[in-house]
Amino acid sequence: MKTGKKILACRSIGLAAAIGIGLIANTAFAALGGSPLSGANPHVASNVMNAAAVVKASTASQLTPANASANPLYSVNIVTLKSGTVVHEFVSTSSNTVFAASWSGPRLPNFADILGTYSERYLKPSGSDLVRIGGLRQRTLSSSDLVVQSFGHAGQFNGCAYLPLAVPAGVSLSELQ
Amino acid sequence: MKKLFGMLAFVLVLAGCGGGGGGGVVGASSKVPSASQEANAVDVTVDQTFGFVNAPYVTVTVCAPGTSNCATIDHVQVDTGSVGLRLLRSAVPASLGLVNRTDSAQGNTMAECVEFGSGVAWGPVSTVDLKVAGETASSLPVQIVDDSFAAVPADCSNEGPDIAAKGAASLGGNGLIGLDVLRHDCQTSCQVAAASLYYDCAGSNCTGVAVPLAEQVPNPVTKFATDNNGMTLSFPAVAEGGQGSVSGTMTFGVNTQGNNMLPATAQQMTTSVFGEVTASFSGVPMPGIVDSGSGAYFFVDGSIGQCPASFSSQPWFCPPAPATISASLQSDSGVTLGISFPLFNAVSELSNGGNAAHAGIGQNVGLFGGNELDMGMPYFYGKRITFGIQGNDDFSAGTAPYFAIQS
Repeated sequence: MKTGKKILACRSIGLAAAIGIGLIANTAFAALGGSPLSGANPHVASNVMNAAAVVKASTASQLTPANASANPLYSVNIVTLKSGTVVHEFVSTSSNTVFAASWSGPRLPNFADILGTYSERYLKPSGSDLVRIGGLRQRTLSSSDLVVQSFGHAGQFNGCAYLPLAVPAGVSLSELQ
Repeated sequence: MKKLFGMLAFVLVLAGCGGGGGGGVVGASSKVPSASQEANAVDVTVDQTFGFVNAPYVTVTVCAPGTSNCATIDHVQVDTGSVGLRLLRSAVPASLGLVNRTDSAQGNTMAECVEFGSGVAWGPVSTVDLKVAGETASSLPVQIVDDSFAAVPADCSNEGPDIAAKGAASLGGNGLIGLDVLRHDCQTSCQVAAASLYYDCAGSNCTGVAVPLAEQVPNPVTKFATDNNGMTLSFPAVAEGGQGSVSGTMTFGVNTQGNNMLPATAQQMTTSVFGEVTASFSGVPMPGIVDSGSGAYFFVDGSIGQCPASFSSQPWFCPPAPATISASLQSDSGVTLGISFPLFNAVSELSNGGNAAHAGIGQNVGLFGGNELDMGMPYFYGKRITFGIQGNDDFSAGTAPYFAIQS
């Protein structure tokens, strides 16, 4: 169920294109904007780097035939954390840095591991949105250079994060899985 | 007879609290039920005391176990998406003298880093007698949310933003009462130290510890002497545009009193061990929950326009005209139920800022990776929704947990 086809027509591919990952200066850090996670991290049980199989987004309103060939623009680092939560890191082929990640599992991930140098912005939110809702189940951080969405409940947490300026040209968010 | 006894007990409880010198009650509003209010029912109010939209609150009384030393705590958020009573330290008078619990594995003070989709909350586990409506849960393990307790472990603070970082202002209330369909807050997950939310604290040094079900923070309803198999939330409808505040009712017990009978027409949707059904939404299967702790609908749909960033950094849906969203829910036992709900333009709903209750507001969440259909508080307006708690600590034994929607 969790690996099922995803929906969403990605809106901001144009934005994501072009600028590339040149802005992400420091690639020495693991995680978003840096190098992929590996067993060197104490929270990681195992990881496997896979080629990115392309399955285009399909919804009732927008049917695109599936394409079984690998997308050479990125690969997927599948990381199993010791908590049981599984993280998918999407790694740009040209820079070998992580431009997006998603997670699913019984525990929230360690955001310092997943978001790297960006983690403080998510973990220590500053400022507040005008509209506050009774919202125990989800949190979104949305900015021009960083988007994080976390949602779920005990036993079943999901989320995704990406760097809008670092998504390789030709990759749409909706194909990330 | 049982009902009469319950009402009598309630009156005695109130007398005890009034005369017992709870002292230092924070944010308390003494609430005397009207004569017509039944012993297993309590008001649940959606208001803007903390500036939150669609946060339902109940007033509870907590007492030092076995005593009449009690405090009334208002604005405890009713959350059907989690399990357990959690109170901010600042809302619990020190005069109650609550004592922290210890874990049996290591024998030191037990603390918890409870996880929510929105972040984490840290603090020790303590014991209270909980009184709500005419019901009492004696010697109930609860979490006291308190960042000053011991030292927050890095493994806790890195798992999410601290939802109580600014106390009641960031939590949106003085605490929360988790009343999901499950019996314990961590179920079998916390029986393994590596995946446990619980910590054993030797002094200020806290390390993860495996905790058996009996030591976890439980669903308070399961600890009531009667009416302990579930509860029903009932709210009046809220029209497009919203309403300043809304008052509904939480009725404890299912099929135990004249006022909590579940009609045969209300389909019981059994859930997974995570309190989920399978929602089929836009042809895609995903977990589905009915959650009073969510102030809006949350699901992903790229075909619905989002509100401009100038309105909010959050991914609010802004359909140009009210839309109807439909999904099919499938229970754990395979029963299907079609549901639908309206989706309004969030800018139109929320921009005047004066109303606490809004139906039909939603956010676009789950851009890639896993999906979820979260039918939040807007779904509760105009409905009675019953939450039946799993019948046995062993999930595979006893009656299955379920929810049932009565329109």
